[in-house]
Amino acid sequence: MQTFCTIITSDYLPFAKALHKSLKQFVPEISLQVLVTDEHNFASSKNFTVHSVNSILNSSVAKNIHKKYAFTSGSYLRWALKPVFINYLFQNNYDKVIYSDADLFFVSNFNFLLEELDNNNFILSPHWAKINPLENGNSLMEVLNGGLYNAGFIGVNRQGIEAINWWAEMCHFKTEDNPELGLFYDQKYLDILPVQFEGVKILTHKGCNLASWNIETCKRRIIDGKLVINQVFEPVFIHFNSETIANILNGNDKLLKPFLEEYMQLLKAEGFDLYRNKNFDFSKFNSPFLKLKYKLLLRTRFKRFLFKLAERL
Amino acid sequence: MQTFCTIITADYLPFAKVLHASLQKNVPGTALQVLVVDKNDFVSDEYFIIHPLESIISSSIAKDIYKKYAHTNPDHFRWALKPVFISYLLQKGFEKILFADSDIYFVNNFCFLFDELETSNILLTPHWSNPNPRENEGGLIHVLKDGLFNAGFIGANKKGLEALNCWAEMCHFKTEVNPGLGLFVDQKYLDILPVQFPGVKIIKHQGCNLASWNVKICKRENIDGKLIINRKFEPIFIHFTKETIVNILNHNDKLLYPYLEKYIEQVKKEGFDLPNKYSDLDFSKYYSLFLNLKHRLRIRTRLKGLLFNLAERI
Repeated sequence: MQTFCTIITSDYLPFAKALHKSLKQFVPEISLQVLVTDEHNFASSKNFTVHSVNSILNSSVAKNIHKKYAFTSGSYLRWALKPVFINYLFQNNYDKVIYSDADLFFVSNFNFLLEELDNNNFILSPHWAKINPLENGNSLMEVLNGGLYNAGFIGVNRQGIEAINWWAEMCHFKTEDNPELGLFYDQKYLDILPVQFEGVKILTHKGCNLASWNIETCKRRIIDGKLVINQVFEPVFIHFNSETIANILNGNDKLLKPFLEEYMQLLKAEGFDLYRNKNFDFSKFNSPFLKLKYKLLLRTRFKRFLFKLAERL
Repeated sequence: MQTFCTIITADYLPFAKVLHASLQKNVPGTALQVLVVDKNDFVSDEYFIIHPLESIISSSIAKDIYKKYAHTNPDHFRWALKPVFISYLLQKGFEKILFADSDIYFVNNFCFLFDELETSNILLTPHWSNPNPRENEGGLIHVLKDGLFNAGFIGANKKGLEALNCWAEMCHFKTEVNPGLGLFVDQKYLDILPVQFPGVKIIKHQGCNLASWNVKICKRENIDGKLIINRKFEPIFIHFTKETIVNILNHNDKLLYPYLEKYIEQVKKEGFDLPNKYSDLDFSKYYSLFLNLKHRLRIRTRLKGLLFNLAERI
């Protein structure tokens, strides 16, 4: 048995529904297990199963995580509960579980990801940040500080339980952003998995997890009227966090705009108006000035010129 | 063609010689290429080949690293030169290179490491620090902050050149300890290699790179009079850093003591007195009766274990 899962607070229900709809477009029978971490009275529907926190607190580490974060930080609780929820789903007879953040949006068939879990215990999705420090020093530091893999997408099979339990222990230990200790919430611990555990696959399909952090390394291009990544990969899923949305709207990542429009429509159908609810000034992104700015790319050209000059000196 | 290589300052020549002797003992005919970053009046022999700095400073990245570190920090300079030197040797015609810090000591046959380079482009050895923060918080933080892999040992073949160039660029960018930026000299950058490049193999043989940081995870045991790691692996090489030596001497890692004794003896033969080198280490104190008794009784360890178990149950 296989399933997707996500963890939300009750105000993110429309996002979970949009995620599920995007999944169903490609695999109509796919189920999504949704853990809602605050009070709610949501009902499950076909293949969209809602779980409450109390129902999954059946291990000591789950209880400890709840005790530590439930009353201090809602976000930390959600993040730290990822391995707990995945483990709970294994106890409920699922053999393969893919965790996705609620702001992921699938745009093509993802069956190969579930198939990867036939031969691998764990699948991880790299950030694919730019690692050439001369071109983008910040991006290199972001992966060194924030983690090599994005914790918004993880796939696990039953043999991965040992790794999942270890991750839960880590999240209980410290879920915090503390670069001095090498910590970054639940995410940085994932760096250790390929070293410490067997069967951890690093996904190399660059159509996975398209987001603001990989604009440069996962190059978007239209070929024969279709979006293709690095001239090879079909886009599989997009991570619509605020940064990604801003990058699409301000023209840095404009080839993802049709997907964003579709996403916004789906959210609207679920009663969530992204225009109104996120703190974006959407109108500014449509201004003629911005369009001109992105045609001319003056700052980029000037920076490139200085960069080349610096290299020659 | 395959070879080992190391990078030293002139005063570490005895260590390079002992490293080479340990290689020769286990696989006769193994060559060691030695880059000496300061003096250049040493003489090579058939299997111990000295390279002066001038010979490798040909590429622009090598020149940049030289400009940036040669006159500011000799340690950073040596570390940043690793990918440059390995690349240089690969371009010279070697097909497989194993870089080893000069304080590494081989105690068994290592041919399987060269064999790994038939199918893998880069070899990395994990630190194998204890990742359980409840048992050892320092172990977990160490790998997250300082790097998953130890930069004292790296293997590469010709297909690994791209990864080596990337590593060299990063070392040129910043070779420094700066946890706020996620940096730890040349070592932390290695974390990125398995993600970014194909054919990067993480060596899972836990007899490799035995050192102070893996006393707990790579368990040493004497079985039938032989040292065995985690009941499975033969010891292959030991990383005799100062911390490792202290751990052996204070009995935390006493099963490595016979190797340390041999190592000290060999280094001495090469004209280097290790006990004197670490002047802050009082070797005699580690032989005291009190210390022997302390390590037999392990009162503090037992008390900690008791409290730990108690804390877990509460």
